Amino acid sequence: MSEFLAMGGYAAFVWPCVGLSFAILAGLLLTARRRLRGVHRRIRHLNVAPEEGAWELRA
Amino acid sequence: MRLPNWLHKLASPPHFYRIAGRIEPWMLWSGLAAIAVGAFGGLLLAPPDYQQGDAYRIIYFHVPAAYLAMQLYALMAIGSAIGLVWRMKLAYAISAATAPVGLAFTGLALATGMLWGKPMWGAYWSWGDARLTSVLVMFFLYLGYMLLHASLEERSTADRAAGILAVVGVVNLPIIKFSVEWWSSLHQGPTISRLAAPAITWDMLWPLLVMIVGAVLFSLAVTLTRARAEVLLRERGARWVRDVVAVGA
Amino acid sequence: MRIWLTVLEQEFIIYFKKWIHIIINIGFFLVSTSLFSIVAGLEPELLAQWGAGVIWVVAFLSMLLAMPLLFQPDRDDGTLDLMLLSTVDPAWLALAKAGANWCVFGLPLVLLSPLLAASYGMEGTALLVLPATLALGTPALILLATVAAALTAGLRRGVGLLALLVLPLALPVLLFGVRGTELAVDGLPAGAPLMMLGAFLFVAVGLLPWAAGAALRATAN
Repeated sequence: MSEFLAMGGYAAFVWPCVGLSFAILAGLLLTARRRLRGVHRRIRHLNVAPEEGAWELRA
Repeated sequence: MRLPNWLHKLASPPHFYRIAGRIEPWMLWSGLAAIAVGAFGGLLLAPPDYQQGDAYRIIYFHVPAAYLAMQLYALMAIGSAIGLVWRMKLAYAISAATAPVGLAFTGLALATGMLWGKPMWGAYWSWGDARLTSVLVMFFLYLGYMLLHASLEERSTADRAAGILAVVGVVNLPIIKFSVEWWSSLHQGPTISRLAAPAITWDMLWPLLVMIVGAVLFSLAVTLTRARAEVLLRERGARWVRDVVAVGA
Repeated sequence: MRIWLTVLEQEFIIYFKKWIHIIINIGFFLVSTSLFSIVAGLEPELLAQWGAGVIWVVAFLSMLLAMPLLFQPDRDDGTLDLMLLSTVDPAWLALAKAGANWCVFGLPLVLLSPLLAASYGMEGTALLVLPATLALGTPALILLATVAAALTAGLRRGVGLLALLVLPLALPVLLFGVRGTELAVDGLPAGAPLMMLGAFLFVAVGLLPWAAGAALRATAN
């Protein structure tokens, strides 16, 4: 196990790369979902008060 | 030139919104599964390289990211071109949805490339390398697209303006790549021992292929989610959007 | 064609009224290049090697200073909207604007560059090749800038964005310009980069005004 983690001496390069990759995947997924939800919420809000919310849609 | 009929049907925003919503989870989960299998295979099962040791395993993250960086740029530019020619809102929505995803993968490709470059070339960065430089330029083009899109108030104006930039950029990208290559081939930079992979073995290859497939599926799923949001924004006055939003789906 | 000449003439009149911009531009070019050679304190041979890069980058930057002048003033006072409503093809409009801007802000740099090249210790053909690369490269840069300026003209803080958009697109021109000069400094034939710059300019003249025209239409109020 520790041999696997050591990555033949290249642990300092391989693991940050793995970590960064998965962090970016997670970030992409979360931001995309949040954006869709946010748009839903804002349009719903817009439908209640058409004039007030209009400007903030542009984000 | 007119668009084929089936494309017209698919291009109708409510239809796209529904279809994309149905496909997206499948793409996402199969993509994630493929990435998990690919990462397991790449990090554990594949044998170490006889020259690079275990450092070559970065390839399983770097190559898919770099591949997507390019493919997503092409998608963004094609979407913009279709939008400009046929004035199709959906194409613009897809372009706008692609940009942040492409930017993230371009950044990842650069970062993993730097992490790979340090143990192999002895430096994180090499200005003489054509690929590094042209990917960096692509990063700026994505960034320019997004900033331009974000700074123009009117959404349809932003779509067209950023679309023109994307199309000009795609024409320029091969020129940039060629010019940097040509420049560095004459310029005596640090001698880079780019390790030519002579007939990579199947043990090493299959995790890479699985990883690429997974990354493509994942990125398309994320792009579809973003595109759905963009479509809603562009159609926010329409009846069907109100219905969709009211349900909260 | 006649309308095109009128636009060109108008541009020149406006630029020469604001002659201070032209002086600032040339001043920036001269000050920055000499600043570099003073601060870097390089050996004469190295200075000639670096000169190509420094002169090219500073020329690009000083042109960047003038790029917002392409469309911003006309956009602000509404002239641009009127022009777009007229029968003038926006592509021709963009070409006229680019031509005038280059004559006023690009050409002086080309003419001054042998002087700077000499002060950077360049000799022989390099003194001719540097101006030649600039003469072929800077119009292409202005044409690229025309697209970016048309895209950002409506923005309040468009100048920074304009620079960010132009920079990556301008890279091939800069590379070939510097490469050609470096070859000449080393006493090698510089025909190939010059021909590449010429080809790039040819394509730029053919395609970019059209893109800039589309950009003007797209961002028109």
